[in-house]
Amino acid sequence: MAGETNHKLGALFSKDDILCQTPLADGNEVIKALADLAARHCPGADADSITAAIFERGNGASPLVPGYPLAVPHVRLDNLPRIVVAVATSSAGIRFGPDPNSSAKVVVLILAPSSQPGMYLQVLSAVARSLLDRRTIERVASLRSGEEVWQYFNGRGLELPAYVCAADIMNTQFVCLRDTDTLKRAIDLFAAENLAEIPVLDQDGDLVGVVSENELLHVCLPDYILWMEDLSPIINFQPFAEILKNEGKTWLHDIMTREYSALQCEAPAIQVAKEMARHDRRQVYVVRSRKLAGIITLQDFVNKVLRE
Amino acid sequence: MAHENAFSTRDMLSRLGIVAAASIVTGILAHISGFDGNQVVSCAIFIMTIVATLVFWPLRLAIALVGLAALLGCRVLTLPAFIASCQLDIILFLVGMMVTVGVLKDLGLFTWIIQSVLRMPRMTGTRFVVATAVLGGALAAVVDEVTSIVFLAALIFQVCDTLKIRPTPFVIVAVLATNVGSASTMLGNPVGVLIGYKAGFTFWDFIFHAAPVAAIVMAAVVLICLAWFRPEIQEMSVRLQQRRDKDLGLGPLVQVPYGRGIAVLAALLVLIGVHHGIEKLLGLERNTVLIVAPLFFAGLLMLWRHQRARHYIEQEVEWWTLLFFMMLFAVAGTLEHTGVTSRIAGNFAAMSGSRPILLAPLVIGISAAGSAFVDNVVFVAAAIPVIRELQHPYLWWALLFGACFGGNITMIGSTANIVAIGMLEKRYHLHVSFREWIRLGVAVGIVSCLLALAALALMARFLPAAH
Repeated sequence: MAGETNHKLGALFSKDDILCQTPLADGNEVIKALADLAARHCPGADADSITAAIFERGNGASPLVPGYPLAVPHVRLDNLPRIVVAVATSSAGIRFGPDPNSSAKVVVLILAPSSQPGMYLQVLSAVARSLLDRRTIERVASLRSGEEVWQYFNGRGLELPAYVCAADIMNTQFVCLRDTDTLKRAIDLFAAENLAEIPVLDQDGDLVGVVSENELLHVCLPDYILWMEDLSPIINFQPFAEILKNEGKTWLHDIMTREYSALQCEAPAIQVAKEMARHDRRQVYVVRSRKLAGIITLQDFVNKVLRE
Repeated sequence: MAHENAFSTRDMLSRLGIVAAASIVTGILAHISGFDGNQVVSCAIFIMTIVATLVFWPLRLAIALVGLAALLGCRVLTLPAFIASCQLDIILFLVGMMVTVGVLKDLGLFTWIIQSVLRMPRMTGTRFVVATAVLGGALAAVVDEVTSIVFLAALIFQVCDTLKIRPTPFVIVAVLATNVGSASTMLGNPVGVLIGYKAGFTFWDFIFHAAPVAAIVMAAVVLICLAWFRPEIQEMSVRLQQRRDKDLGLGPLVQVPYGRGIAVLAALLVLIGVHHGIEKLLGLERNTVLIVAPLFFAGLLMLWRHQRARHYIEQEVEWWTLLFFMMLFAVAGTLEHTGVTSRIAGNFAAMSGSRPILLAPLVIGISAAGSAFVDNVVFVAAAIPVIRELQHPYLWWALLFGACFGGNITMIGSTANIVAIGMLEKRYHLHVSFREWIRLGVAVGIVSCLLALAALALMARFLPAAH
């Protein structure tokens, strides 16, 4: 594959790029301190401009990884010759908001060159694999020196993946329906979650179909009604009323469509773009074997590959 | 899509080889048979055009245009003869019908018809098959076969989508019934209006002589289909019962103001029905009102719905098909112009001696077999000059039934078949194999033609004379 990289994660930084057991407790202060370390590798950029770029990109959003005491602030910079990583740890915790639960024990700052859209995601994937769970993060946060922290990352021999795969950009927090659910539940979800399309799973968690707002519209207004040029005689949304009358008795497997795009977790992310472009999809489903592992929306793709 | 009409160079060369070989062999055979120079050229170009439209079907209009130019260039056809033989009257009749169908669609008539089937009480698989077959035949008889199959396919897709069953068997039944029904009036099929106009039959000649035959054949076709697709029909019955148990319908139903649509269609049918009386009353040439009625109606409807007038002409009229028909009629007319058809008819007459009625099985057999593989309009356009020379009404009806019923034999036998298969492929990515179709098609085709022959034999004494 063109552009393949086989860097080890540990080779992207040294023990001098690590703030071990930082006494700073405020997240923004830690980001400034890490930017100071990273600036040594960034010709033409100083710590202040890097910090400003990070805050501007974050636009007030927390860099915390949901559910983990891990924060990954990052930004793309022009004229950066290579990826730059700096790490901070604190067994006491670093706050990224007023909520006491919004604290991190490990902060990994990633600066990526603008010219390499997938590089940040490759590094993020390697970081995610090296800090698999909460216990591992706690263990890294308890290490006493920068040398030990660097040894942890380097000693595991973790390499950057050769390419960004679908699993690297998928969203694992998603809303789904069961094929035994009724149309009523689907309409409730569409209304509550403001979604355009919801995956339908069977009892084993396998992806078996998709219900979309478009599909619902076609159920209410089939071709034979649309033949009429003037629908004004149909007052009070008769077709919709009829569907609503039976929404509790209409099973999703009767109305869902099997026309959707699904890719395996290992599929290159560019395949996601191809599916979206070729089949005009707003979202692509990522499966592990047949089980739904995540969803990539067009917005996710643009944000993660072109901006993050 | 751009690649739909693409042929590889090798594929193109082999197809061109087939076209050239067919043309050369025809020319040699015509020469050996003692045809003169013009006749040999017209036969060779006619066969070249027909074979080329078959092997380059997506490009058929372009080929018909080139074939016409070749005939004009070789001086076997003149411009006045082209104008006379391109059947502008029939083309305009079809334009009028297409515009009227577009207005009827807008007015909700077809929506109401589909909903009437969807709301039928105690629906079973058998009832659905019978209803779609009868509806297909009736719609084909009063509008045309392509319109009929487009609306029926939408009904079948709605029901099969709701029941989650394979729509193919039900689409095939609808196509077979549509082709049979299209033989019952002059409005059902371009072949019908072509034969009716050329033979000088009236609308009522069709109603009294073609419609009863089509009804008998329809009953036979439905029975064959019920037996052929028994497992699929039983499955549909089971699913319908399950849905009924849950008090669920087959699709949303809306109040449709169908009265105006029925009034428009009824008025058109009445005007066509009394065409012969009006012609006699006004001293007009035979079938003048018949041809003008749909045009007159189209004009009135376009005045009424003037905001949509351009839409009806630009979107509802199948200009590609109509232009193809015009060119085809002109190419076939060349055979008459050069005297080829007179010679062929002479040979047929010699074969049957003083009883041309004996040719009926041959005409129905050849037209059925020909229409199974060649568009039936193409076949009938070529056969009409020969039938006209033979001067026996029996043979006109044999040609009509052979051409319409023969269209059921293969999946490419009529425009309705091709349209329905295209809809199945587009919507479900389902492909009907040639084998799957032809097994049922041959059975239906043979039974239909035998029944038609028997019915014609019984009606022989009462058949109207051709004019």
